[in-house]
This record gives sequence, structure tokens and C-alpha cells, in this order.
Amino acid sequence: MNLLGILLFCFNLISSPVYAVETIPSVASDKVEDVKDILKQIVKDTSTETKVITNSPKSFFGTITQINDSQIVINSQNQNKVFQISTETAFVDAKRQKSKLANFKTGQTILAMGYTNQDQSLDCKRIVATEFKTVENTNQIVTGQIVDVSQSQTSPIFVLIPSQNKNSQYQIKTDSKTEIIDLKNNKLTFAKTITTGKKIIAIIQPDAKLAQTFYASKIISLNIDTTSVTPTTKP
Amino acid sequence: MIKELFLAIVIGAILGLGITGGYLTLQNKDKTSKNNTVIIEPTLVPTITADTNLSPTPSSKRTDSIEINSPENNTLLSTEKTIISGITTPDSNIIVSTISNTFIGQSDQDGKFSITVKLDTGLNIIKISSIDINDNQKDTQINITYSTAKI
Repeated sequence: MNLLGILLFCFNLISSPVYAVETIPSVASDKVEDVKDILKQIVKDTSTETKVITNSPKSFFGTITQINDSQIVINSQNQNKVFQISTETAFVDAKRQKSKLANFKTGQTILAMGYTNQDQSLDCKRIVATEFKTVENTNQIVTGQIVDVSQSQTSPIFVLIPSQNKNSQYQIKTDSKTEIIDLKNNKLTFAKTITTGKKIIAIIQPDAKLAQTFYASKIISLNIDTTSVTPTTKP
Repeated sequence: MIKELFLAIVIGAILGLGITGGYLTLQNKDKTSKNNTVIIEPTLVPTITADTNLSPTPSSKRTDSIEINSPENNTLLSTEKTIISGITTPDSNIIVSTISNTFIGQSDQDGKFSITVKLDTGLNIIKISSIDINDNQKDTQINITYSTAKI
């Protein structure tokens, strides 16, 4: 009976297993925390990038429609833009000299620079008095065909019929400063480029002295067979 | 009698040990397979959601007009040179004109173009034209300011 008791006791010992504490759940939760941290970092980075993009400096040219100590409203490209003025705002006059808010008035044209806020108003950092005539781009880009070339007393003149409107024509003056090139920026001669029937792109400005006449600052030949004046080395 | 009793105990013990051993082995096997459970770690996959506020990207479409992608209108830059890029009709001549300079380029087969432009100090009203092979001309204009002043 003693032997039976010993055997049963041994049996009992063997059949009651001892389990180790499982560490897996804590490892898994650590990883979840790591992933959360990574996600938080990504969200933080993304929001920072967005902030940088929206805060790129802007500049608007327009006419002052309202002005007081705290803000300036300008009409820029048919839209009203509100600029908030602070002690940080710098004022510059048309002669590029330091100025002050009191020197700016309704109807004056200015170039306002600053940063856009979320409400679309702008934190104005710099206001420069700018006359439109000093920044106006009077250049016109015209494509067309030369229909007549003549020599005036002072400079050669040619007539161009634009491809966009064949019922109109441009009388275009040139001088020694007129640059004549091809599409690869090679310089060309007037005599070989400005001839009747040739197609060109002309960058022209209205002539202040002669009505209906334009001055060409640049002429680009569209005829690929035009001979370039670039010197070539003889064999 | 004692001999038979002893034999019965031995047989019982063998059977008992066998069954217990088998049970424990099975339980261990279960535990091992539990320990070897593959933990699927979540991987960060960017989720693309449609944002209805976004305007269509012009870089992926052809156009019959001329669109400037960069720089944006009314941008203030502190560098003298900038690259004007956009999209228009394929294989067109592109002319970019500031007050003091003219720059020439060409759009590729997809209509995309990039032209390096030298800016004047202050406001630059930049005129950009594209002229296609049939002499159709498209024009646009952007205002870019170049200033080195601290903003």
C-alpha cells in the first residue's frame, strides 16, 4: 500500500504542470505603442510641411482702396486684399527711401508683401510705393507673316499680318538694338530674316512717337532654313 | 495474492504514466505552438483618400490653353532666377517676356515645359505665350516679385 501511495504521489507531481508567465502580450503592446509613436511623428511632420507651404511669402500689386492704422485694403487684379499692419511692417517710398504709414493714401498704387493667414488676410511685412508705369510690361508677343519690308529714313520697317487675326496688321520698326535670332538662339541677319513671306515671332512695344507703329526688341525666325550668322570653322 | 496485487499496481502505474505522459506531451505541443504564434506587426501603409477640395493636377492632362504650374501667381522670391513650368499644347514654342528680357523654350510631347527666367528687381509682370505648329497662340500672365529684403 505504501508503494501505491508513493506511486500516486509521483503521479500527482507529474500531472500538475507549472506554466511560465507569458510575455507576448506586453511585447505586442510595446510594438503597438511604437507604431503609435511613428504615426504621431508622421502626422506632426505632415502638418509642419503644410504650414511651410501655406506660409510662403506673397506679394500683391494694387491700388489702395481703404487705409487706417491697423489695415490696408488694396484692389489687386480685380480682387480686394486685406493687409494687417503691425509695428513690424516696413514702409518704402517710390525712391526706395524709408517711409511711414501716414505717407500712403487712397488711390495710390503699392506693392504689398507678406504672409497669408488662415482667414485669407495677409500679415503685411513690407509696403513699397510703386507706380504702375515703372512695372508695366508693354511687350506684345505676335506671330505672323511678313508681307512688306521698306527702308524708312531712320530704320527699316516691315509689315506683319498676325496669324491670329489676318484682317489686322502691325507696322513694325527695327533698329540696331533689335535682336534677330532663330529658335535655338543663334543670331541671324536682318537681310536674310526680314523678307516678304517669312514667318516670325516678334516681341514688340507700342512706339510712343508714332501711332499704329510698334518697335521690335526681338524677332524670332520660324523658318528653319534661315542661315545663321554664327561663324563656322573652315576645314 | 501479493504478487498479483504488485503486478496490477505496476500495470496500472505504467498505464497511468503513459496516459499522463501523452497528455503532458500534447499540452506542451499546444504551448509551443502558442509561443510560436506569428505576431503580425502593423505596417504603415499610406492611405490615399480623395480630397474633393483639391483642384485637378494639370501636369497629367493635355490642354488647349496654357497653364502655369510654378511659380504661383503673386509669389515673392528672394532669388534672381526662377523656373517657370507649365503645360500647353505639345511641341509648341514658348515665349516668356519680362520688361527687360525674352526667353524661348519648347513644350514636349506631353505639352510640358520649363524655362529658366531671370527676374528684374521688384514686381515682374511676366507674359507667357505658346505658339503651336499651326500658329495658334495662347497667352497668359503671372506676377512675380523678386526682393532680397527681409520679409
